[in-house]
Amino acid sequence: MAITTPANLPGISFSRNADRRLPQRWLFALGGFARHKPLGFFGLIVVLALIGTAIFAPSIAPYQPNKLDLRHKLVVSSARHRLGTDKTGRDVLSRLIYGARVSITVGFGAVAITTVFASLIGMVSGYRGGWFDSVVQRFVDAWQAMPGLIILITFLGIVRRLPGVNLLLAMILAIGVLGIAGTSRLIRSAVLAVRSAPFIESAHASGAGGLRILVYYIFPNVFPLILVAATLGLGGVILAEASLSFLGFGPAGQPSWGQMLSVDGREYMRAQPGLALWPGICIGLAVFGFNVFGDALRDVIDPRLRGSGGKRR
Amino acid sequence: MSPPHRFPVGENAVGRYVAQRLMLAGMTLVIVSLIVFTLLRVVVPLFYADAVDLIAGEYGHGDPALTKQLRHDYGLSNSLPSQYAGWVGQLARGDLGKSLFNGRPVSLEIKDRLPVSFELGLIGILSGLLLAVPMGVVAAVRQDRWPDYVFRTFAIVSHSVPGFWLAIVIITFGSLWFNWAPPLKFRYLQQDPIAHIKIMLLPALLIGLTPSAGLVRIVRTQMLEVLRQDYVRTARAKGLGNSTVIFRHALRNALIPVVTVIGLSLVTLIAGTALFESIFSLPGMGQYLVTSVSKLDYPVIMSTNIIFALLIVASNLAVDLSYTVLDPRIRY
Amino acid sequence: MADGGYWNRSGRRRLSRRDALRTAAVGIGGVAFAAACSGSNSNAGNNNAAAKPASSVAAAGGSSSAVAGTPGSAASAAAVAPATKQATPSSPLLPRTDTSAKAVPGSVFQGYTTADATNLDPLSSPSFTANAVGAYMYPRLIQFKPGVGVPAIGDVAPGFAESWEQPEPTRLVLHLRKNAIWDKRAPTSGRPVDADDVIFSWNKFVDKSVSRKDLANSTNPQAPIQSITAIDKYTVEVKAAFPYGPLLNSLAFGRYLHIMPKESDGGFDPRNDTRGFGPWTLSNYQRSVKFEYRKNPDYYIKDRPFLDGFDYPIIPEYASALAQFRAKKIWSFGGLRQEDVVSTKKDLPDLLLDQNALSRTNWVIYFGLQPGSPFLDDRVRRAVSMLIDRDTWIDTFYNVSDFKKAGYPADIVWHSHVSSGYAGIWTDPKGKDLGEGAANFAFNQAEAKKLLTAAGFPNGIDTEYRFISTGEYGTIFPKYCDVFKGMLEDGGGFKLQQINPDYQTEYLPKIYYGKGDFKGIAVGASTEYPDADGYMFAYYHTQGPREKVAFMGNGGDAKSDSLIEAQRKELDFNKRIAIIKEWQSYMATKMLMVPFPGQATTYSLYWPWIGNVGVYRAYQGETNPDETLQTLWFDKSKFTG
Repeated sequence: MAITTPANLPGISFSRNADRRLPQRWLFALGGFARHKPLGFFGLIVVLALIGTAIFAPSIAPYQPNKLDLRHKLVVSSARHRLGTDKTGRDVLSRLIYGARVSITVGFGAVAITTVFASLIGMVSGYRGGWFDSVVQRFVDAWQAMPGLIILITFLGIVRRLPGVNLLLAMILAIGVLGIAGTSRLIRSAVLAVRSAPFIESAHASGAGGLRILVYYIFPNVFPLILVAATLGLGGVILAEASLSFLGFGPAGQPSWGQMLSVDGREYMRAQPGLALWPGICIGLAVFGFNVFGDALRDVIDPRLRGSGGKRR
Repeated sequence: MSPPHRFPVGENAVGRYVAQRLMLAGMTLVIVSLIVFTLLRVVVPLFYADAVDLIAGEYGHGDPALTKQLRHDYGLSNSLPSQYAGWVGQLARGDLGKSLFNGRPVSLEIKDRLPVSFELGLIGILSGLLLAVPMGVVAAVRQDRWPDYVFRTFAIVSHSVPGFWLAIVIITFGSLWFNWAPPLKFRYLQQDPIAHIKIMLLPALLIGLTPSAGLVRIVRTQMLEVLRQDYVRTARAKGLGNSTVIFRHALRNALIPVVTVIGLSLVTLIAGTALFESIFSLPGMGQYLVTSVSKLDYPVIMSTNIIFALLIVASNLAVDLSYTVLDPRIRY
Repeated sequence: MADGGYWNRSGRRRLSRRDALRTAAVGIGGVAFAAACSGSNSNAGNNNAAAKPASSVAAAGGSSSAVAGTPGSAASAAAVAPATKQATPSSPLLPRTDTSAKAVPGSVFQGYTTADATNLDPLSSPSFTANAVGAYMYPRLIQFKPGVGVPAIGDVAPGFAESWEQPEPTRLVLHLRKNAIWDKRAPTSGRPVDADDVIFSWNKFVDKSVSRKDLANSTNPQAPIQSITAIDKYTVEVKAAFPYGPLLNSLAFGRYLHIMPKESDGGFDPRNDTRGFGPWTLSNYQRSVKFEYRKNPDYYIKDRPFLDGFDYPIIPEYASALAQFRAKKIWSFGGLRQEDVVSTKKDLPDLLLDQNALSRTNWVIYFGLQPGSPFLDDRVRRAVSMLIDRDTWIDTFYNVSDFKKAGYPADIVWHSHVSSGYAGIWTDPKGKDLGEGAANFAFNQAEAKKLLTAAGFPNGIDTEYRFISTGEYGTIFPKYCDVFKGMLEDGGGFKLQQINPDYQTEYLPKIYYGKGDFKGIAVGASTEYPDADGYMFAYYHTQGPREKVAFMGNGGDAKSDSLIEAQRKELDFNKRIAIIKEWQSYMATKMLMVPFPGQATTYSLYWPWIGNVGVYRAYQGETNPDETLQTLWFDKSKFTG
């Protein structure tokens, strides 16, 4: 994996020696990105829109997500409720907007857990090598062999009965922890590729300690890969959250897309097709956005990685 | 996915490799069993309810004699380590335990259900393959022309759309517009093969949609790479026809990593059929687990998890070993 | 009841009080059948709840019931108030003529069910799903008599006992049939069913049934039946602990005393296998796939059932079940959402339309009554009740305005503390009979505000609000609770902090059985009983089988207790009704808990080739009524599937 000299990559640069005029550079990079990777740029816009929606949900949403409007229930579309209402007259658009919060929270939360721990494990294991690496990798093997959805269903199905458990947090934790093994392996292999690079050797020669090398030399070089892995992982997490909510393992009381689909969409979609269509489209669009953006990001950072199966690895 | 490990060539290299993989597999199983045991036999009784309370139900609640009897019957009066040892011993003897609520042996249920889930996953991935390989090949051969764009877009879109959502939409609108309904009564393969396939086809196709997206991309990349290789150029230089080159030489080699991916994702797919099983009312493993979790039928939950872990471990092992057969470049 | 009169019935109210009450419940009735054809229809996903206070709202049946088994009640309740209806829909309701005479035996009925049974043993299962299945194989001593063309009213008919007499109020002697034999397969091997099996079943019921405290005096001093003993091989004697009005109803009730063979104790595993003597045998059962029942050729009633059998595949997904129904692969669809009735009927005009019986369940909003709780004050509880806009709530969940728009009759009835499904017993809160308490049922935000201010809460109350959201009470239950919450917050300035407790460990022990020892407001469900007494006694009496239930708070209410005791020991029907009505009036003034708003007309759809559909109408909604299923037949001439 050739990530030794990131400075000469087209379009975007993550070099740790980036100069001070950061805004201009970023704008320039963004322009190049849009030109070379239009689909990826579209993905970026979707992602940003999603994040914006989640953050500013209270000001964007026309109604409170749980506000009942019993005189206008199961409306398909009207001036009052653009995307219609559900069984108890709650505004679908507002619920979708607030639903973005759950998707984004779970997505970023889980991916943050995955990324932080996977980076730690991958970097230390790859850099130290030797018996330490062997032992860690055997655990990673076992970890990776755990049946993902099965463990999630078991874990959440049990945990949600325990008193005082924040189900959203439990979901983030479970999905996040489950993803660590695979990502750590990816990062480890990148570290292995960097480890024997000349500039690391020279750092060694100049007397830099292990921690210093890891933080200042190895991390900046594997960071782009970490970023790509995280972006591609987000789509998968959002889909996982939707599936779990659909199966009824999501938290009650706050709207999420999977839950809207399973609780309202499934039973009332004949009367109001939007109840099933819109959440499905939102899930699809969000996953699509993260996937194409991640793909483009990867192409830009390392063209050789192109098409190698994405998050399956 | 775990990359194949390379070992120095030696007399016992293959043997040692297999031994190491087996040890690894054993370790995986131990870890999974510990996690599941801790969740169900330590966390749940501590914070929630003892299995005994669940079996006794309301009528036996607060009846100390009954509770004690049940505790004894289910081996719950022993210490935790000895409970764990007892359970592992049971598993080693092939005894998967019995449901708390109807006393039916888990092994009987799994015997019926595993083939259904397995088949769903298998047909799913095969149909995904059937879809993905031609698309990937054409996309590679016509790189950066419209078939390439169309198929790549298909790959991305089908990767993003939740399959369970598609299933519900298809059923609802298929019914609303055409009065169509998926086949109603489940038939096992041995009972009525044709009816069986009719039932399994739609869910399996939907299950195959998501992995097909990844497969299109892999096939395409591999084809592109292989087409650039020397031996393909040589074949072309020899004057072989374009299709011969593609199918005889390039495709065969391009499919090697595809086999790996299939092997590795099959179990994931099987584990992920729960959603489709409940939508299409198919008696598979996923549904079994979901209903058992909702009832906290812990022997079922524990055994189902172990079975899945075993499947994953076995398929990883098989993939690792088959890799050496398929790819002559890998040696021990 | 004349055919075709259904649309002309319920308009002209104000006849006599009783007639008007009955009107609401009459002409409605098919859901019992819907339940018959769909297993546990409205309880999707509920099969896991241990002895849950069961759920069945929109589509749980029963019908206009008087206190049954009492001479005179049948005639009075069956009388229907003639009335004219304003609107007439484009299609008529299904005909209610008994076609048994031209019934052609044979064919297999295609139905469905939403959920698997926890297990197959009705006498020991922690869930009522086993009773629903067991009802087909294990008859009771007495069964409810289906209404023929008219709603069932809770009269009883012979079951395994062909006759009985009551030599004194506390003694009932039952004569068993001599032509009943068990399943011919081993271990029962076709031996005659006799008194020993009855005694065996009673003992097992007392030991293991989740309902034992409703019936067995040895488990609950207030329960009516002291013992059941054999006099000879074909005669048994039931001894009551005290004179008990609804004794026969209790024996007929589908969740209580099923007769199971002695061999089920060791000879075969009743949780996974069945050996019965009812109209059907379970010929093929695949867990989570299907139930297939076939006619029992040795059934003690000779020319029943007409059908060769019925198939119930298990279809948990609503969209799938509806698709199957529309594609004619299932013939009746008990779980049809009311929102889909009009459009489905419009798409497929051949479907028969049937009005369902009113439900006899009545769920409640109840209060935490810890020291210092604002809900200890009558005025606050009454204000809560007044803040609930009953008509709007019912319109939301019973699709009333859409039905009216489409020209279907849709009448709204309010519950008092007794369900409006108990016609003849129930007092209409909209009328004058309830007395001064009636004002507490009317939607009146201004008055509520005044009461709250007088109680010292001019700005509403900040408190906790608890309900189950995990499906034990069905998927729609959380929506009911959302609407109550909205109404209290919007109209009364309440600020309710929503808490969704776990059913088993938190809700049941701390809230539902918490004797009011919790903070704030909770919403809960109750189950169906053979008679209004079962319901009142179980949930409101301090010594009832659910004596720990929180609805009345810790100490209960002495006057309520004494009224409930008085009515259950009163054997004179009219006097008993008077006491129950007095109780309702008393509860209305106190509002110790607030009953659910009420219900409205609901509909079912059937394919027209089901002979006798909607004609024989079962009394029980929640438990599968095998009494009606055996009267159905397959009308080939109308078959288009």
